[in-house]
Amino acid sequence: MTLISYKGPRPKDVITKYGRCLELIPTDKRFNEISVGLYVKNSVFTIWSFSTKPGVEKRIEEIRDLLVSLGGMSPISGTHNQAKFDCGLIHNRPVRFLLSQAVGKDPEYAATTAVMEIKDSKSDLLIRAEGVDRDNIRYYQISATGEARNPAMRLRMIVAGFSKYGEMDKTGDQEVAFECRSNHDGLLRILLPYSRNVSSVETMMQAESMRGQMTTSTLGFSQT
Amino acid sequence: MPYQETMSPKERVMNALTGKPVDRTPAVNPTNVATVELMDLVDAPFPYACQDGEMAARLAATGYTELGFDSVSPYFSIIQESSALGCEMQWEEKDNWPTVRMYNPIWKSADDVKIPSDILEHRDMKAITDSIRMLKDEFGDEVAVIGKTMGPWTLAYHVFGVESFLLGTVDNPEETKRALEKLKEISVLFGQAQIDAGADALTFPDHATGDLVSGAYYKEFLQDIHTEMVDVLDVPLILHICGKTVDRMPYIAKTGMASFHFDSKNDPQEAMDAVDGGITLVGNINNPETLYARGPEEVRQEVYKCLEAGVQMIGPECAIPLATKIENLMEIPLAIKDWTAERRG
Repeated sequence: MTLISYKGPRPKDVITKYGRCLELIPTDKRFNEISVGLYVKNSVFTIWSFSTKPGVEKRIEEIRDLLVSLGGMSPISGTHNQAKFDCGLIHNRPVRFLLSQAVGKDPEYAATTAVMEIKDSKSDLLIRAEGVDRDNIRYYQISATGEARNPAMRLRMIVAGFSKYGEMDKTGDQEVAFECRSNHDGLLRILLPYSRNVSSVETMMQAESMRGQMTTSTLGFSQT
Repeated sequence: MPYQETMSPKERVMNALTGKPVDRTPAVNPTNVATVELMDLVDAPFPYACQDGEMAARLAATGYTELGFDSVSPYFSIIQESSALGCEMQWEEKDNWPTVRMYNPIWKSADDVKIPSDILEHRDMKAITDSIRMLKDEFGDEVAVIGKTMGPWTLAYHVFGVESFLLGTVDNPEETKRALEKLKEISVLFGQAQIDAGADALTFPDHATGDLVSGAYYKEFLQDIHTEMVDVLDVPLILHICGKTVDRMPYIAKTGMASFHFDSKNDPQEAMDAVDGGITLVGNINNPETLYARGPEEVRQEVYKCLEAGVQMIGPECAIPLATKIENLMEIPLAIKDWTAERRG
């Protein structure tokens, strides 16, 4: 009896070929609940699933294409599952949010090029990020309009959110830039909703990380 | 002379469990090393892999074939017996653990404890015994097949409810002991069925955890039962208790159990000192912070720390998070091999 017959590459082969797994989405709700991993090697990202369900290759390509359209990556020609940032960096933290969005969004979702702005979640402020190029460096100036008890404080918190989730450098009181100093408008759009509310995002991420963990406190009991 | 492996994985595990010499420290998974990626690899997703013997066997096999552990364990969760007893289940989805719904316990007292005569034929019990048979058919004596039977303390949480059961230990300790005596028959029944199916060893989780009860409680309510289990179940037993357990390790070391699977809340050296050679240890690579959230380098550091302390078998501290990255799990046996080569090469 042969218990296992492998149809596709095995974990060791995948890691050797595509590198380390940077982020793993446990279930793709849009396609048979497959797991979707983002692997990276030599600055090239590979979307990978060990599932061999019919149609998985097309689904992987959809996700890869959303990394391109949402996150500003460039596809690797001749592949259906690979892309990279032109700057050559990995952007470890924001790319995780990007993968989550790419797996969650409708494949037909059209990335916007409109003004980068969003309503604040803790005040009536409208937060705006504006890309400014100086000396071949892309800076992002963060501003806010509208009513709030202490707008300056809110702005500082939001700028701190960009530093935390985008691994961005603070280049001025209300100005940030990515480590590579390149234009990553797509990534910034992804980061906008997260950066405005760090505490909620932390709670959300904590809850996500607890899913699938067997802890002393659960002991095999449902928590609902 | 360069280091060379001279034992089969099963031989290595069985020797380590019984305190005999080994060619290197084994990588052992007494609880679970299934992940969502491995489920996809062999098309055996949760919850079905907890209900179907062939799926359970396929998924468990990956612990050996893909991750390089020296053992396989097809009982992934801690709820198979409770499901068979009629507890209300929440089976969850692929990326989460099946659980017992805590708000509706099935029994109130020891008198209620009734074991269905056909309990071993229940789907969720058969899934485990069938999977053990399949794994033995597939691997023979190549790799250690570790079954699992829940201890009476854990079963009591599930059938009486945690709060009600723990209050009972204060209000009416004799009634608690009567309930444990009756519930341990389930542990024996299921454990023996797995031995008959070919299990080489059994994990015996009994969650008298450091967070909930004291070491004195362990001594009063469980030490004798665990000692008795060693006589009744004729394979090496691996006791598993989560949390900070150093205070009860001296008692555990006297039960005769082959090994204690310990949590990362206990420092490896401190744990080794606490058991003082009375029992072997297996563990205790941290799950939430290291295996789930960090990388292979951090995993390697923890493996080395355990090896330096003399921990006899290395593995995750408990059932791993289902979204653990495969490379982190593969790092455990790799790090053991490198550590051994560094010292013997």
